[in-house]
Amino acid sequence: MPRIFHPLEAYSNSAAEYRLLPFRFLRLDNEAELLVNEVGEFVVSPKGTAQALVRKQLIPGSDTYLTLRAKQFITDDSSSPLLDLLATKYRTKHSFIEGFTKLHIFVVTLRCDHSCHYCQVSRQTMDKNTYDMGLDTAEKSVEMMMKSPAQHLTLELQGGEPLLAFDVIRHIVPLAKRRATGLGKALDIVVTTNLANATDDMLYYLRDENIKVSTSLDGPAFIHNANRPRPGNNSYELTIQNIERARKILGVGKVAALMTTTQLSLQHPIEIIDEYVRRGFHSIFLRPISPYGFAVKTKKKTGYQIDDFLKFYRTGLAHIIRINQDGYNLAEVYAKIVLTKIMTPYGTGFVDLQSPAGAGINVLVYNYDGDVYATDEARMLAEMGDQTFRLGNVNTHSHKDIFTGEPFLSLVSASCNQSLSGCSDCAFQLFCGSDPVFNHATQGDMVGHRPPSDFCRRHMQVMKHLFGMISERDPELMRIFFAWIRNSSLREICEGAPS
Amino acid sequence: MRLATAGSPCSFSRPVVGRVSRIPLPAEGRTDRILLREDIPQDVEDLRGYRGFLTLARMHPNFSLIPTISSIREIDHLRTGDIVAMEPRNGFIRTLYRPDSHHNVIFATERCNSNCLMCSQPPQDRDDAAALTQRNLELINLIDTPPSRLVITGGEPTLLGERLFTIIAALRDRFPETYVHMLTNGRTFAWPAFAEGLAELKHPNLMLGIPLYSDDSTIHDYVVQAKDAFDQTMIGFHQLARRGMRVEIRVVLHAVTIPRLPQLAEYIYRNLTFAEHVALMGLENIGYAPRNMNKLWIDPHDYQDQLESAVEILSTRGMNVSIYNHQLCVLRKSLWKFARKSISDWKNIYIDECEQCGVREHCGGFFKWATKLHSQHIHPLAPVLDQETSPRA
Amino acid sequence: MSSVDDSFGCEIDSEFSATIRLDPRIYSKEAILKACYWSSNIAYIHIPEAPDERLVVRIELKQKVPSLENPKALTIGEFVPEFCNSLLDFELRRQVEAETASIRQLILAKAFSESGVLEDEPVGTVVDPVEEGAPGSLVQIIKADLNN
Repeated sequence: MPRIFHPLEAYSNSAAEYRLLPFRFLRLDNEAELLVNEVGEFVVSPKGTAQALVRKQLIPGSDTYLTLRAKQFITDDSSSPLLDLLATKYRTKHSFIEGFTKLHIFVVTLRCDHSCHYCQVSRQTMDKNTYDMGLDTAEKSVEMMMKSPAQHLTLELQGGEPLLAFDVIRHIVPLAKRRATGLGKALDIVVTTNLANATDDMLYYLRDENIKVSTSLDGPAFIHNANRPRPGNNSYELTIQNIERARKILGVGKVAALMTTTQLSLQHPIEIIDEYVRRGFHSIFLRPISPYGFAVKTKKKTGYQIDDFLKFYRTGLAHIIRINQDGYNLAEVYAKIVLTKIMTPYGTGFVDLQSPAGAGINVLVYNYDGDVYATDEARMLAEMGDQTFRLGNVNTHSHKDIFTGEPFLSLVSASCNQSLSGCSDCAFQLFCGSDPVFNHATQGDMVGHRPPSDFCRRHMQVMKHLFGMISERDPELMRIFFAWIRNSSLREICEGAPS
Repeated sequence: MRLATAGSPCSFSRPVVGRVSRIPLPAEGRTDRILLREDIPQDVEDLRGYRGFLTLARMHPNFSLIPTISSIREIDHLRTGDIVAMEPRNGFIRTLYRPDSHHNVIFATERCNSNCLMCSQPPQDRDDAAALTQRNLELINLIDTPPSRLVITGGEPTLLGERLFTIIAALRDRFPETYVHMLTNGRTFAWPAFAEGLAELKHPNLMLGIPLYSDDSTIHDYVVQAKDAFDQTMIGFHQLARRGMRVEIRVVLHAVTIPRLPQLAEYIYRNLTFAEHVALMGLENIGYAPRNMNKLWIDPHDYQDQLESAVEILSTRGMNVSIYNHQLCVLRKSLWKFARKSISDWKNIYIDECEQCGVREHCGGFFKWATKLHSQHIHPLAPVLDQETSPRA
Repeated sequence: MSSVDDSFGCEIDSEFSATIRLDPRIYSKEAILKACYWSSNIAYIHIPEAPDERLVVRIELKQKVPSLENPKALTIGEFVPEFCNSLLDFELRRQVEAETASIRQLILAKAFSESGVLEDEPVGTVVDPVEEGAPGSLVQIIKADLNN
């Protein structure tokens, strides 16, 4: 029988009304709307699209119709809705859950020689025995860490100032490595330190054990010193010297810097960013200060409105983009995280912006005294007398006790923004996260009330800003964004793209 | 490059597959060889032991006792070492394999369950599965030096069912290091048992090239002329990827696929992120294409915007992209780095305008049937000095 | 501000307050409550009992004088249109939810189930005319149950 050719219409069946697939939307501004479906596919459309879509007023065969069908916002009788494809994409977006707790923070000591205004750690300068992690506690904490089913673990050594308890570090590192190898797990180690006490021997040790360093650089001298007072007022000079020393011994790629924003910082985004460029760093994380620890007590010096932070962020981001356009590779880490969630099929492992919240599920904190907390912030709350998020203690609780105990279970029940008031309808839901600890600390309740929430306002405004930039469809800007997402440089992206 | 010829068959009733030899061989070396001579030997004993005999000359039908084809039209293209199939009924001599070519193909079947508007190998609804599989297994046995790559194509190879697995298993066992590239519409793999059957073979070096023509199911189904093809192919991709099978996506560029090409690029990135490679291919004016040309033709010069946009989307997101079958003079210079010299040697030509071109050696040229239809904008280019813009082979 | 259709009526009562009357056949209580939720930071909202069929929403802005934190306060004339947009949006969302809740459950169930367990059968047919006439190993294979 001879084969014949059929026209396009033979393969289409939009006669019957189309059906909706799950999606959320919001107004970006007066002209544009954002529609996001259950797996993160999105369209930026003219105002009124969501309404037309819901009221079944889309014109079959129009570009908008075809695009919304291809992106799985609607389905009709021309083809099956490919729900299994949606399920696969959903799994991909949420694969950060796999393996359970991957980041394990060890507070090896509370002792510290700095007096930073915003410090979320209550500082203890003296008693080594009381405020260092005991070796027995350290061992039990390592055991607890190894109970995690994750194939790839990250061990973060913190404090106070962890290098002040170097002997504890020297005990933990080989033990953790041995146990990880025995279980076939990969292990990354990082130490967050101000480097003020880093001897050459310590740096050689870090190099030999392949431990990365994360240190603090708040900006040029006048900001850094004001933020981080020290006898002699030379915190900045010391920090720069020590960064160079650490780079020489460990390698430039092994030393990262984080800044903390204070009210002073907010006035000077350009100077701070320029300092990072001057020091040869290729990433900077523009983040607000958490409302915990000493920050609450010294609120006058560090308190500020989220709107001021947003202004700081927008100015800073614009400056960073210009720097990239001029040929210097500098990624803004918060934008990179959010852009990864928006522009790729994947989620991220960033524990502070996930749903379910990273607390406990993706990160666990082991305090010097063996107490186990859901996040670092949870530990700071405990320092101030609030034990709500203390999950247990390595000396008295098993892994199972921790994760089936009341504190963890009540935390988890408020962890999914899919079911939180305000979040459940939000178009940014998949790109955002939830933070029950933050809600509890700022509003007195884990679920939280969205309209006054600084967490909500900050993320929502930045995401609106980023979507505004994405919808401009500027190819060079998109290349910069993908350079950040892919941990590459604009130059490399351009080499692999049409040019 | 000629791959088939014909003559007068005699003394055999079943197809014969063997290796051509233009030089006479000692008795022990003749078992799987087909002797090729311009003339006929004086002594018929000179033919004893060969698998077959091919000659230009006219021959009396009773002369040869072994499978023979005489009065062959052309034999210049046949070299010693080539593997050919002799057909008893029509005297066809098909070249199945050439050791010195990089473009050897295992032709699985003429059957297909799609009917693409631009199909370069239009399907025949004839059950050739058993005969061709037998021929292909013999072919695989006769190849002595492992080729660097082999293509399995058709028609639609998966219609062979179990027989396809037999062929791939034979390739796995004989030539584990040979890169096997199978061209398939991927639809059958929507059934998990079929994907599982292929995965179980554990071929160490297998890549499936699967076409996808639109992000829109209706347009894709229309191009391939099969209802539900898009859904099946998409699910097929996922059943394969889930089992660790390697896949490549192929897109033929023509008037139906070009308008939504950038959207397809975005769709591929979001839904088929695991694809190792995306090939954007120029149209071949052969097979069904000529009769559907009014629906298909768009001058490549006129779709550079969509092409560049699609390549931009895929490459900035880290996916591997190549452009096949495009001449450098119609391809935007920014896209040269993605152009490959992709046309198989046996169908590759250049035209008059190419005589004076300074980048001819970098350019893939045309299909031999492009003399009838090609871009209006072919023109010679000045030699390119900048190494970075030179396309890769 | 006046409405263009009967489902909606608005009176500005004072510099800081307004009353909106809504047709409950068009605006569900759920949509109204959600719109109120998002305004609770800047307005007090009352929904008193109404004598007629309309739902009444009384709005009173919280901030009446400029403050250091918020020098430029929202006026009632700016607030009401925003609130109305919000009402409409939440009503649309309710409709989406109603139409897609069960499909969403299904997608999540598939996402969290083991590979292959909740998967749909492939649609359509994959046989060519030859296979159709004489089914061979192709059909045998694709019909095989993987879980046997």
